[in-house]
Amino acid sequence: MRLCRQDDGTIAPLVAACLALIVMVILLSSNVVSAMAYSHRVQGVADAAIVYGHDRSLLIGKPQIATLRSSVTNFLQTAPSAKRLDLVVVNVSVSGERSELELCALLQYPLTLGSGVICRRASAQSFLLP
Amino acid sequence: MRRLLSDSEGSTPLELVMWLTLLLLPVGPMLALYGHLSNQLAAESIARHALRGTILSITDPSQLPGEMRRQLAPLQVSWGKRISSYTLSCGNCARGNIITLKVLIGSAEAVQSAAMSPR
Repeated sequence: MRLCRQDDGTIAPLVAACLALIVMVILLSSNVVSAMAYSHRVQGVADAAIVYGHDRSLLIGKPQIATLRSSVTNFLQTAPSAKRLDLVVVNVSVSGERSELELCALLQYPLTLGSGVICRRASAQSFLLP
Repeated sequence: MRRLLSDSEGSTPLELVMWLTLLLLPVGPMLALYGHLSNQLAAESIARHALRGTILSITDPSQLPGEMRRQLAPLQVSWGKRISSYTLSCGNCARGNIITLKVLIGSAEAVQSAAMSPR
């Protein structure tokens, strides 16, 4: 109990803890910032890829899975925005008249070691305008 | 150094300055980080929406540059940012080709690609 009321001691652990906290906050913030910007980029590529694939795979209003898959693959291989991503998962599916795409890309954190995977979904459907 | 850190005597103003410096130290990098995040998000959003808006608005590939300028102007006003530069590339700009828009805001760069409808 005497330990709690003693005014002798060193503030070195306090200074070290404060500095460690500051460094940790900066590193974590940079990771969050990178992840947010990267997720916007992945979403943009997913949106453009599914619209591209859906446009080219329609047969009497319904998307054809084989054409959709090859069109999406073609877009991801040729579009400059997609070539900047390190894609790990590309899932293409058709549900009725709706084309769906799930894209997962690997994100390398800028200031810390390690990486994360960011996944985004996009879908497209055609409508007959009256 | 050891005596300085463990001594119970000292100057309060000096200590105050030291603590304030230590606590305010992350404010600078955090502000810079926030500025870069804001520019990056704006650039990504502007590139994405301008490209989509342009593709939906044009009926002929020759209208691309003019329509892109028209789409970018209100987007940069709504984000409160100034686009440093942008480049538009579309190969031979034929119908169905992939169009790529690169937007630069400060040091943040965003690239988005989309294709004109083949029909």
